[in-house]
Amino acid sequence: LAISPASAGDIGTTAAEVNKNLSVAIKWINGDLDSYGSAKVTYTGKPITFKTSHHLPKVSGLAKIQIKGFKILEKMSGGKIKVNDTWSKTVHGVKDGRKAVRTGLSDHAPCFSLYMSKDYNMVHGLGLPFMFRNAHEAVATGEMLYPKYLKKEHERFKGVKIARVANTSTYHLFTNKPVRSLADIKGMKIRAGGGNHSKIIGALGATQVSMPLASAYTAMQRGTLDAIHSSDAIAPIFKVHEVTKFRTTNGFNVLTIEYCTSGKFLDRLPADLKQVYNNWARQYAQIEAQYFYDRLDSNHLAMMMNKHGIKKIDLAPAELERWKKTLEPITQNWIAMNEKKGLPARQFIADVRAASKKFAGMSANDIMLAAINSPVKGMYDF
Amino acid sequence: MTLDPQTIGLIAFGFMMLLIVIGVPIAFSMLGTAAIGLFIVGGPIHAETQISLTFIEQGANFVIVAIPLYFLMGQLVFRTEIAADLYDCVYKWLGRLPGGLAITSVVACAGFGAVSGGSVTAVATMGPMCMPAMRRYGYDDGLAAGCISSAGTLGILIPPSIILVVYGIWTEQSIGALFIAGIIPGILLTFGFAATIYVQCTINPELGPVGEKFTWNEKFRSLTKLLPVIITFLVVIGGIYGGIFTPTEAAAIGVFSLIAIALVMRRLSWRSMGTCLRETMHTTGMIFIIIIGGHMMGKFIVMTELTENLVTWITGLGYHPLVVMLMFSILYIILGMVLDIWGMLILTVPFVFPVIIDLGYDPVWFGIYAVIMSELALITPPVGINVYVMAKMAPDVPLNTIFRGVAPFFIATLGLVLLITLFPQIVLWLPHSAGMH
Amino acid sequence: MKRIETWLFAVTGLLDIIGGWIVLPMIAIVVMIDVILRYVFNSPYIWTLEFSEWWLLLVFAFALPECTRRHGHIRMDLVYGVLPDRVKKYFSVVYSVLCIWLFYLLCRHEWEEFLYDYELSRVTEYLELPVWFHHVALLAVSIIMIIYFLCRAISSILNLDSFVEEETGEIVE
Ligand code: NA
Ligand code: NA
Repeated sequence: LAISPASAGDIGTTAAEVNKNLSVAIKWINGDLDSYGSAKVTYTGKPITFKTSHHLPKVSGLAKIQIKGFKILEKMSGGKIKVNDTWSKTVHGVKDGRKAVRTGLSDHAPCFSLYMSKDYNMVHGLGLPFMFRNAHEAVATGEMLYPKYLKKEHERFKGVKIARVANTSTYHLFTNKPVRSLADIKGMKIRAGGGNHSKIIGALGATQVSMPLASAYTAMQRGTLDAIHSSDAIAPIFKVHEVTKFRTTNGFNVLTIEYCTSGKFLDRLPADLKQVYNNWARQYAQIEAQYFYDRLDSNHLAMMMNKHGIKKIDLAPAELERWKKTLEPITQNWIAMNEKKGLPARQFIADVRAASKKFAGMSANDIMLAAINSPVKGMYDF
Repeated sequence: MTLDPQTIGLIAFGFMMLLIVIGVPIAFSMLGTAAIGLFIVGGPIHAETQISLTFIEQGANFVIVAIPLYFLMGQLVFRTEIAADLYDCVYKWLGRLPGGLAITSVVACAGFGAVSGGSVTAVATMGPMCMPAMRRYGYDDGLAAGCISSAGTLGILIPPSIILVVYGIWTEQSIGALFIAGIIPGILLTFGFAATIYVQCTINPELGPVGEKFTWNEKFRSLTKLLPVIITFLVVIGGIYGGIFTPTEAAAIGVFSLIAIALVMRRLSWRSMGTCLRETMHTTGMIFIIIIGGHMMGKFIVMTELTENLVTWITGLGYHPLVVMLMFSILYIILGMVLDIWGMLILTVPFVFPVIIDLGYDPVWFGIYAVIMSELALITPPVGINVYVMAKMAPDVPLNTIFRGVAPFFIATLGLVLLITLFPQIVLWLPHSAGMH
Repeated sequence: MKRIETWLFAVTGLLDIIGGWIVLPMIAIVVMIDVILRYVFNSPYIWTLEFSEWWLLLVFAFALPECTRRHGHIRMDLVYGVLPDRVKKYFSVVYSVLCIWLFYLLCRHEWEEFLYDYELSRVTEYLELPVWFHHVALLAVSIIMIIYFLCRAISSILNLDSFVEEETGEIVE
């Protein structure tokens, strides 16, 4: 039932391949597309300011892409939405984006459910093992199922609406000793985040060590860690490839990193700009997944393998099945736990798996075009 | 009338200075100014949300656990007389040098600094031990009081250091790397201070006559008294250097090693433990508000674009980075006259840090630079807290005499600043080689 | 006013003792246990970080009132120190009013946040500690600070001999 991990997405191993497979996203971000959706701007009043905030510094890779994305929003709104972006924790730290949006400090901020996991239930289903192959298929699934399954728990926080359901790319295992089987991983001390990650590491018989990814480098050097659980996109940013030799493709799961929008901001928008905003948000959700996470996944994996001699290990099909079977109880327990709370968890997971499979059968460009031409309906109540 | 953000920023800065001058505590001056500024620029909800966010973000920040714990270490070393042992041992070894008792004071202060986080505690701890001894041997009052006041500053450069923790939090630098970076400059400054005394007393032996003579047997036996300090330093700093634990964890380990040592030596009573903890709380309350004030000011300043403009302006002048550093150094010396170390740090880091980084200096290097420059604030007239604390312990020595005695050490410190500016590797080599930075 | 002073200082002292004698040592012990478990038993406790952070805010909150009433905050004495007492009193009122306003803002916000988090019964990740408790603690401390500064301002204006500046004789880092 579970999806098999892709090796750094199916979007190619060379830069040329990646550029071809993500051509729509690349055109989008460069402002070169003919159509950015069907919404027409009729509003003639003064431009409306859109205050955004992020804990990341302006110079970070993600920030650079988001800034380009904001420019596209301004363009799509015919200049009627004016973005005022702030960075680097000047408004709030990594855990307080939702509060900033709720209190009106910001109109758009990260509100990662992973840092407030007890505030959410269903959304954690997206982070269960072997649900997705890459970020953009995960985002397409999350966005599609949001109105039916996730909206209610997100809007429990008054004044907070979803901006986009975002996901990282899949996480793999970076090690010094080759890991080819479950026996190899047993007893390893592995740096990983909390939540689903720690459950996965535990179920594999390894020990989860929680430390900032930035400290993992030194810990690995000193031998206090045996492995780092990271995505290819993120690994080189923390120099993971300098202290490890092997990377086992297992694609355990993705992290859900939502962004939220202020309800008051949406209320301020006239109907036509609301439509523009919705269109932009649906498109940009795909852009960040494709252009940031998945593209970086491919580029970084190629770089780590070619320039730093990282050896990629793909599990043998039978072995992969064993890993999936070992981790399946995590999903089953999660379903049982949430069903007990009266939530439609079983149906949700079934729908996630069906959607994930459907999107796995589509190209990244087709998914991007779908986000532009037939955006998901029902994210907002208008 | 609408003011542009930069004008608001400048008015706010003036207002803050006014509050500081009329005696409002520096931390509240900053917090108040920032809150009023955010209130005007962003409205009441903005101001109150930011105050609350900052209190909770900073108050529940694991890294900050280190601050009370490093301070507690100093209290423990002080109140369990581990400091007295340290002095005793250093004295037996170095007392016979020209100005030997003064050199002993410097080295003992450095040793104290190696197991505690602050500076004023060092003066308060070492002063009552070093001063009477130097008096007995007829040391010059200025040299005696001056060397203790100055050597007290070693404690914040030599790790662990509360100031470096706060700098690390504000600028998001690795506290471990900052600690390790402080080791070599700390040792150099200790040598520099000792050399200053040695030279002065060789030229004019009247200033600091040699001390008592001890047999080799006595010397070697005294070394055991050094054990508590050595063990604690090795555990704490060795643990950080070796990547075994974080600076915050190291603080807890340090506290428990000291308690364990003190218990073995039967030197810890509930009463003294209580005093240690209450004093720690007292300092914790003070530093917490400083951190909050600094953060709030940072958030406000960003809205006024003051730093951005400052960076553009200074970069636009096109001076050589060394010239800019010289200008900043002069600024630090002037500010340091009237401000104390915390005031220095909160007032300068938000403005100077972006400029320095823009000029291509290393953030860890700048942390060490800023700490050394801010240390000077503790010993320069008219406001020099270490000198005041020293004066309290030696009431018959006029302030002027102490300030005069401090002068050679002030110059030695500037020498170190010059050295690390010309050779940044002095600071960066150790953290680099530890793979921390 | 003297009675209020005695009563208020008893409260600030008590908070200080709770923070210093109970909460701070508890945090130190938990951090220590975490390190030991990690190296000796190879099994880290993920909750220790959350535990320490949750309680640390209380250490700060509890330390603040006592430190403030003992005049433990660093200030520049250069000008202030040489001013006549009468002028000092005016400036003390300025300081008090500023702080009353600051803690009023904090107090108001914490009350709203408390209601919000309490209604949604929000809890922390691992230990499921109530998030609203932080707001209650800050709310209580803000109220104490407001009372303190209010009394201090009134005493200064009316020339009362309570809540006056006093040299504590303590050395502050
Ligand atoms: Na120190
Ligand atoms: Na000074």
